Amino acid sequence: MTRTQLALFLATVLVLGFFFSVQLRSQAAADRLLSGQDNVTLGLLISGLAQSNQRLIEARSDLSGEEQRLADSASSPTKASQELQQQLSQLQVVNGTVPVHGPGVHLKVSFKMQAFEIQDLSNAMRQLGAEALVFVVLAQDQVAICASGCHSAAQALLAAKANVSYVAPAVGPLDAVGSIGMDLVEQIIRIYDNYGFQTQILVADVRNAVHVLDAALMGADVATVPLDVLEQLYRHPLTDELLAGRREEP
Amino acid sequence: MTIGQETRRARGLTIVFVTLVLATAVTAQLKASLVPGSNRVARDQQLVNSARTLEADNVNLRGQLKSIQDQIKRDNDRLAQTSGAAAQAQMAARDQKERAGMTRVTGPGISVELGNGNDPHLPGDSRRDWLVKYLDIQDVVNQLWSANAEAVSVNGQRVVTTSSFYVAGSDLLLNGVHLTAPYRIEAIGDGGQLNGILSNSNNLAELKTRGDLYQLKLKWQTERNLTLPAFDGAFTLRSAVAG
Repeated sequence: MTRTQLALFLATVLVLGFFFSVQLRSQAAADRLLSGQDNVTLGLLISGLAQSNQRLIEARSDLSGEEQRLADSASSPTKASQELQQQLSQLQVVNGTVPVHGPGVHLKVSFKMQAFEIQDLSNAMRQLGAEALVFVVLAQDQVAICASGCHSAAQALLAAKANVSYVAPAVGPLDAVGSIGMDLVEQIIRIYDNYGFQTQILVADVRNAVHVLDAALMGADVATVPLDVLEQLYRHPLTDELLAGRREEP
Repeated sequence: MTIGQETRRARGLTIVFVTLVLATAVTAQLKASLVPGSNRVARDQQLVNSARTLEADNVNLRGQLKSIQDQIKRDNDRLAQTSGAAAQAQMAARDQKERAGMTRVTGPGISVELGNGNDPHLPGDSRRDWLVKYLDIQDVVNQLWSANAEAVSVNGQRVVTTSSFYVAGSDLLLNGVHLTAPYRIEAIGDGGQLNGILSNSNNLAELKTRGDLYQLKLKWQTERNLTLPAFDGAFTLRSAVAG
């Protein structure tokens, strides 16, 4: 083998060796990617990238048009000003600093959404190219709040100012400490009537049928009544005699 | 040329030819042995190739956009000199561009490192809580916004008003760019305030618990000077009109 042949041989081996190593390395890189990502990830990536690229193509088209318009308006100060004003207006829309209108979708969700679900919804909308988003709470969840353990008219006043749904004066315990529980209910009703508070009065810790009767006479809204008091409400000696047949119905 | 020389030349060419054929055969054989001969792997390879092509297209398109945007900027500068009204509009637009994240910004702030933890190899584990999920990144970003961050980026992608955190299995697409763990989130703002919100044990509670369980990496530090890149995409408005 001559020197030239040897050189040719070595050069061929070198070139082949280079391509051989490049091939092997690229294959190894592909394998690493394969092992790192499952099909679902790859599918989602492809879908997301395709959407993104489509929007980039649209953006390229829009920007090319804008560039052309800017070039055309170079000779006219009025047109130049209009173009720049147009850009400003678009940026204000992007930043959400001006009200916007246009076609779109109105999505009404009638169940309680978790924070991350709202984020997901927002992400999906953005991913699909939403240009402006607004979230409107149509109706807040109705959660009734009850200010329980109310023992004074002043407490009831504060509860109403805090806009709670119910205030619950505890009449039984007040009677037990020498106060008159139903007097408190009467005072609360008067205060609430004076100012038109919407808070309802729940007569709590009822101990006897008279409590219930007084509450109704005063115009309290609700009462929590124990079973024994409930029985007192319908029991009457005359009714008992009638039911026992010891007395005839008039 | 003598007969002897011709013979030597022919012999040399034969050696080169045989070497070529052998090397090609060896390369092909090795390549084939690296790829398991199942249809599934072939399909996976197709998916990988598709994703790669799309990513390359994405980079290419962004490059083209950058070039057009640079030209528009030059045009704008020229037009702004034509009248007072144009100059005023350009000034206002510049302010809006900064707000929109279209300019590079520098300032103090915080950097957050978020990386995958250790796989406990639990049988039937479909939650894969040892991985950083797109919601984790979004939660951190939301916390930073709530602490008055003025600019935020994730792995060099600026978070802007139109940004979506698009879940792609264990990965993330942000502004249409494919990002993978580990993630570096940077925010410009009051470092103390940003640090305070991340340090509050009530915030990012789930992520912090997973960090303890799976050694998921979550650490942050205030920075004296950060530089966040400009948003490298474009805002396309085709439907929304001001007013």
